[in-house]
Amino acid sequence: MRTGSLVVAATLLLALAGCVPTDGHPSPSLSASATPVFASDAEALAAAEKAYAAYLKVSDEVAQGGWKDVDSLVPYVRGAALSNDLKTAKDLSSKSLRQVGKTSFDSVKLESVDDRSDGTTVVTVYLCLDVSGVDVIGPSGVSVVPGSRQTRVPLEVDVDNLRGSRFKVSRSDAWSGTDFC
Amino acid sequence: MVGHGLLLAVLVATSGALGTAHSSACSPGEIATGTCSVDASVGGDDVTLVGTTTSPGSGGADATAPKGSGHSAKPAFTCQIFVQNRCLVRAPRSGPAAPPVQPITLRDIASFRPAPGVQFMEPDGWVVPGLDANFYSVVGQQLVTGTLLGQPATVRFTPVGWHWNYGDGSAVVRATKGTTWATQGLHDFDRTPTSHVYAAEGEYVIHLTIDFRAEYRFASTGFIPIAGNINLPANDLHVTVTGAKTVLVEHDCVANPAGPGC
Repeated sequence: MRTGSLVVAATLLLALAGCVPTDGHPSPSLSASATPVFASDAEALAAAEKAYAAYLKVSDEVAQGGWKDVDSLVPYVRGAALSNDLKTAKDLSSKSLRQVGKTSFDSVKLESVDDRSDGTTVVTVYLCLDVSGVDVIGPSGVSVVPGSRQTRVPLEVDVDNLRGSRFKVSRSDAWSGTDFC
Repeated sequence: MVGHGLLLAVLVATSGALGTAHSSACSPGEIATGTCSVDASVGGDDVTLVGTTTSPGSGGADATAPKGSGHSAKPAFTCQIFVQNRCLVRAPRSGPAAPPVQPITLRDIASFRPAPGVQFMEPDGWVVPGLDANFYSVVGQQLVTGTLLGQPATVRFTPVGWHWNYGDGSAVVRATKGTTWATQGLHDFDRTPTSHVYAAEGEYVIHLTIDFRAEYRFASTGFIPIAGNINLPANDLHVTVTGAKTVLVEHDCVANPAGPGC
């Protein structure tokens, strides 16, 4: 199973690197006046929400399994966000922790849509991540969540389609300005 | 780009309302375990973070409300910007001095000038087509003192929007000034919130214009916002985009999350 997902990941990577033709995604135009991927801001927002929801679903599954099956995250997250997820997963799995319950998000607001000349479109959104329905338990079955945990965290999230590939979460930063959640 | 004109205008307003912020990466796992540190504060002394509000007369309070605020029959503050029943920006407390009668405009503060920002890039002056170049600026909040309507006053300028024109036909407005790869804990050529990818070789000039929000204060009042933004150009950067050979290496994203394409 693990090998299988690695093969999938490797195939995806080859696809991203342009070694094999991708299905359904035309080659990105390299002209400076590339047609925007989204006809409207609402469309961009919807795509970002969809990609983030898919990511969070898999992220929850990985967390519920003790942060072990990190390979399954790769189709949904990349770049700095992936690096941080892997770092976190390594830490939490080494402590034999696992998550109970599901994470949710709401209040998604569009910050920007950046159509880059290489065919990458970066959609940046603000959202509130809600972990009120989530507990993290240690090997003895006891919750390790501190009472001071913030249950609703304002995030600034990038979702992009690296050079015309599928949309993935590429950045997830805590918003340290005024708490909008 | 035409379709995003309205969006860009909204972006500036939004970042103004939310204040400036420093970002730190936070994964859902860190948030679930309470290990994601969020420094939820806003620079300056007039805007206070409000996590929750109570309706007038309701007497109710959220569990996270500061101690002692839950039983007040009237709101403890005036809200300047309300979004979905939450106070995003709290109005400054009025001081003993009476505020001026007429609204202050950008024209009134024309003699108060903030220092323009300075932009930099990594790598410095050269870029490989298809790889991210990291652009960032050094600019911060500034206090400028002078005379306004015959009274001593201070104007506070806060950078809120960064208009980058990359010289290759693409331009974008960002809500962050950006910073170096090293500061963000990233590798060279990683994508950043302010990076840009050039598709074609050539020589390009990068223009940056920074929007500043302005607020004024007389001797003993809090800062009062002035409608509109001031736009100040920063220095131009010149970049040479030249090719590099791409070598496909064997790796996977889990083993090397910083690898190309990951």
